[in-house]
Amino acid sequence: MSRFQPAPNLDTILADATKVERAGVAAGIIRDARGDVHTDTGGYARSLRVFDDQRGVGAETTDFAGHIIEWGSSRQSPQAPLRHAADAAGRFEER
Amino acid sequence: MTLPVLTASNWKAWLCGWLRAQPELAALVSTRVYSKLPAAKVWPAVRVARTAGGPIEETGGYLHDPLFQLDVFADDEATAERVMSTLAAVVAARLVGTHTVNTATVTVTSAVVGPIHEGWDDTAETVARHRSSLRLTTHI
Repeated sequence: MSRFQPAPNLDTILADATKVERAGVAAGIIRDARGDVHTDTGGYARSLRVFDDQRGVGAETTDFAGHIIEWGSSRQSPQAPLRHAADAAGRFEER
Repeated sequence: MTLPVLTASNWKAWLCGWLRAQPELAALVSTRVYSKLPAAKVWPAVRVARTAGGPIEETGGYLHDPLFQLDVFADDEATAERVMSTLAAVVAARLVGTHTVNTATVTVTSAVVGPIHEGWDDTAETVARHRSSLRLTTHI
């Protein structure tokens, strides 16, 4: 009989081993989001970037109106470029 | 069988209509369930947006998993909370089943309401806004 005993730092090992691939997925999300957002959103498309920090690896916008473009408001419907692109890259689940 | 083609507008129109037909929700918002909020706004109101999901290509287009954003706007937080809780309850209790979306007969096999985010609207700060998501798994 064989037994598998995961190392105490297995999460870290797996995160490091998949970081490049996850960054590639994030870059694809940015590419899709840039193509999906309306053209009247100023510098939003240029603000999209991949991050790799204490939060992990992901895609984000630094546009000051990015949250309204993504989630909308009582005056604007949501465009959801990042969620749309993330869902196309896999299955997006909100947390 | 001819494969029905369902657009984002088809899904939004169907879900808005279905929500308007739920008496518990209508008691709170009347018929104010929209895919786009009107210029003359009366609260409380619900907005439905299809933000992602669609036909799953590997299934030849017979399975769809639309993802909706659900917004409740109200004059105060208590009302927004009551409307969103009611919306989530009717979805959980009744949405699974067979429906007509545009002209297609669609079976909803799963309806999952996501976490509810409570707060205020970004561009009208006196308006309470509670937001959630709805993921459906369906087949034609």
